[in-house]
Order: sequence, then C-alpha cells, then structure tokens
Amino acid sequence: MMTTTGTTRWKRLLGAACVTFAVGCAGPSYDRTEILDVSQGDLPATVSLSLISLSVGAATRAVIKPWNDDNKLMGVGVQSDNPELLDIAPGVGDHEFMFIARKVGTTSARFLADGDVVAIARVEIRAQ
Amino acid sequence: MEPFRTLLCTSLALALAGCAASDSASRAGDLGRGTFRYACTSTDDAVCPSGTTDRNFDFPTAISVGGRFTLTFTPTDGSGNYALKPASTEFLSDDSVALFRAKKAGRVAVVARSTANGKAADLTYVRIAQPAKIRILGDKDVAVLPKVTLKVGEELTLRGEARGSLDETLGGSVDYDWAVSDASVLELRAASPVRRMTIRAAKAGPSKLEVKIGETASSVDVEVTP
Repeated sequence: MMTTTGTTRWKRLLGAACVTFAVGCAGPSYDRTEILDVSQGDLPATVSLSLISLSVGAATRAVIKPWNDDNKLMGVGVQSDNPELLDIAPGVGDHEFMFIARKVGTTSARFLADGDVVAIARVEIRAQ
Repeated sequence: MEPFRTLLCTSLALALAGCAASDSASRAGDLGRGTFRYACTSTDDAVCPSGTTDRNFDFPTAISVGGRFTLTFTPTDGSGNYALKPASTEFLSDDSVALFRAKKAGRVAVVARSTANGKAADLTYVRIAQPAKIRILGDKDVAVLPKVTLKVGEELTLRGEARGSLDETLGGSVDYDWAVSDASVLELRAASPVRRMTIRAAKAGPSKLEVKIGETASSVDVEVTP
C-alpha cells in the first residue's frame, strides 16, 4: 500500500516537473518584427507586416528583423504567394530583401521567423 | 624643374578631365552600392551620336519607347558579377544579357542581382517616354528651318533626334523612317531605318522630307532651285 502511494506521488512529481520543464525550458519565443530602411525610389512603396503596396515596375529594398522575447534576432524569411506578381529576392545586406513588382494584381506574402509564419501581408501591385 | 612641374600638372588636369568625361554616362545606384552605366547599341541612339564607344554624354533622363540600349552595373567594392533585370517586362524587355528594349511609357526599376547567388545589390530607375516630336538636325547639331533650299545636284545630310514631351533628348536606338513627297525632286541616299539621312536635290521643284518614329512624325519643306 505504502509502495503504491509512494509510486503515485513520485509519478505526480515527475508529471509536474515535466510540465514545468515544457513551459519554462522551451526557450525564447517570437516577440516582434521590425521593418526598416524601406527605400523610396521614383515610384511610391509601402512595406509593412499587414500591407505591401507597390506600383508595377517598382522595386524597393527593406530590412526585416524578427526578434524573440530575449531581444535576440531570429532567422528571417519572406515569401511571396505569387512570385509572378511580387518577386521577393534576398539582398546582399543582412536581413535585407528586395520587393520587385512584376505585374498588376493582388496576392499575399508571408513573414517568417526561424521558419515559422508570424505575419501574412496583403500585397497590392497597382498600375502606374 | 618648373617646366617639368607645369607639364606634370597639365597632364594630370587633362587626365582628370578625360576621366570625368568618360564617367558621364554613369550614375550611382539608388542603394549606393555601385554604378550603372548606359551605353548605346548604335549611332541610331540620339544621346551618343558617335556610337557604341561614345562616353561623352549624360545618362539619358528618358528612353524612347522602342529604344534599345545597354546597361551594366559595377559594384563599388569590385566583388562579383551582376545581371541586370527589369522589375517588370511590361516596360522593358531583357532579351539578352545587358541589352534592353523599352516597350511601354512609364518608370521601371532595373535591379542588379549577383550571378553567383541571386542576391539583389542595387537598383536604378529608367523612365520611358513616347517620342513627342522629332527634331531634324543639320550640320553642327543645328535644327533645320521649316524650309530648306537646295540647288540641283546639292546634297545635305540630316539627322533625326527623338525628343520627349519635356523637350528632352530620348535615349535608345530607334528606327527612323524617312520619306519624300516627290522622289523625282529629292532623292534619299540611304535606306531606312537610319537616323542619319543624306538627301540629294535631283530636279527643280518643291518636295517634302518626312521622318517618322512609329506614329510620331516631323517634316521639312525642301525647295530645289535650278
């Protein structure tokens, strides 16, 4: 009887430790994404986590930095759901991307932090 | 010593002046990582009348619809090779390496991307405009009068120059098509399309010389006297 009770207590303790470990030791998680240095050329351009708006024929550079809750930079990615409308190319600088408006239309783009989607922006490519 | 110094300084000044002239067809990329250089594909480009080796001109403010030209990119740090791609092929075709053809009026970015890893380094914008008029130029780049008088047997060489609505010279090699209203009075000495045309007065009488780029035309009245 004593043995059974002891085993149960031990199991509960182990379970509680597992939960504590899972919550507390999973590591830092995503916190925010900064979008910086959006270049402004001959054609107006907007790049944010909710909207990417460009005139067809435009190209704009933006620096995109996702941060975790330990205030450390995370791996970044940006993907277009229709590269025939909006092509997104990596830039030569750190965390830099070039947004290239190929054709008029609407689509969406995904912002990633350490491979996970953290925001989906509406993409609008307008006629000149 | 003094004459030697003077000679050295003069040489340096001439060298610097030469360098400045050779760079005039270039401009810095919008992101400041390199230089975009414009070059003509033929003497049919009004911005560089001496042809493909001409460097003594300014980067054109606009390119004519239909205009062909060459654009290259040199990174400031001298690293790697870059391919230039227009943001949209609606405005600018890139049928072969570094050779572009303007297709539609508007503005379009040209992006320099590394041939090694596809990363984008810099960009520049090109403005494309429909020719608003064609200026007909004679000797020493002087625009000819609305009426020209020639004697029978005389020849005159003229050049067309595509210009935009802001009266700017449009870049790009374009097809200039020449025609005369009375071929018995005035002969064309070259076959179109060509930017430079020599006419010969064959017989006394009036005639009209017309030059066209697409739908845009310009003309000059020619009176041939005996």
